[in-house]
Amino acid sequence: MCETAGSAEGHHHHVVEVHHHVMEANDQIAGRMRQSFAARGVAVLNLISSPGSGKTALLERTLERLKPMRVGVLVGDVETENDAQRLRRYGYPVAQIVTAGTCHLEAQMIESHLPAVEQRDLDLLIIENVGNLVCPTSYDLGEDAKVVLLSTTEGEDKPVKYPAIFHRAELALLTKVDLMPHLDFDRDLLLRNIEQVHPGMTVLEVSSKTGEGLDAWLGWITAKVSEKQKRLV
Amino acid sequence: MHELSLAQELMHIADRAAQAAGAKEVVRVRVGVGWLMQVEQQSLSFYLEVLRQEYPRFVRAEFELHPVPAVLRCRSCGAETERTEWPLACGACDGSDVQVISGAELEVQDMEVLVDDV
Repeated sequence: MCETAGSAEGHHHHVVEVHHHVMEANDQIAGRMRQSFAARGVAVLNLISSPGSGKTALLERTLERLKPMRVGVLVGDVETENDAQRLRRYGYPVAQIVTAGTCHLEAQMIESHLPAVEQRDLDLLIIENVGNLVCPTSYDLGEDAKVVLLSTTEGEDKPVKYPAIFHRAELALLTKVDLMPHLDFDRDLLLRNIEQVHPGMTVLEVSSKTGEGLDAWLGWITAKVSEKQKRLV
Repeated sequence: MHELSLAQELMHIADRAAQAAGAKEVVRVRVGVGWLMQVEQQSLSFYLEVLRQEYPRFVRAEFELHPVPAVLRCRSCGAETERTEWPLACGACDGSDVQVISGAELEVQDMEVLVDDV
């Protein structure tokens, strides 16, 4: 692995080939979890957005309607248990991951919190990542799909400002579409911007307030879950 | 904050490699920064400067950060393209159905170290 590059008094220079990636440790844990989820037929979704895009509100409406599916939820935030408290009302196991400053969830945080939501077999694990469109993009959490959320109040150019997450995510959810009549929101421009960074990306439009679009979103989730379970047989 | 966690992991990797090589001191560490990692290089440099003080072998080490472009393979024509800007498209046919092959990594490439003569 080493080659000598020169020498001086009492010691010499070596060039050490390393070629190790910083994500290796994270990816190893994520890979281990992905195998375990596959063996048990658990579908895993990783929800990513900026703060305030409506992830928790959408999850409330989603959990309300997912019964009898067996769902577990992991929620990441920098501080507080507020989101977990909101989500526990729906009768599913929910664990809050308080990252205490870290701007994203890492595979090891998921692995250590899994026992709290996996007391019984799950069909679906939903991970609500820390509100942030940059850092969570690079961290594999063993999920089947990353889902990126964007609200109508955020502006049409988010996909081109934060292209990596829109490129990586499988599905984009446009939230708070009930507000569209009150905003100068150019929906076609948004769709063009998404198309630019992720051609052919599936985009669903939802409103947690009016329930608009929820059927399509629930249908998408259900398809993911049955796809995962089919692979078991 | 992202850059701090990345810098910590970089230091772990580099220190383990230095130890394995029997290095007395590390002179230089070459780090490849994949364009798709969205790393703020100044911030990463800053954290590395701070963190190396905690690692005796690295107190005088110089960290060289090298940008690494994304490499794409076109699913339509099969060509490989290097890219450092959005949108991701094939350099040969301009098609947008491309697969990212590399460029999403942050890697300790190699290190120049001092080893005691036996």
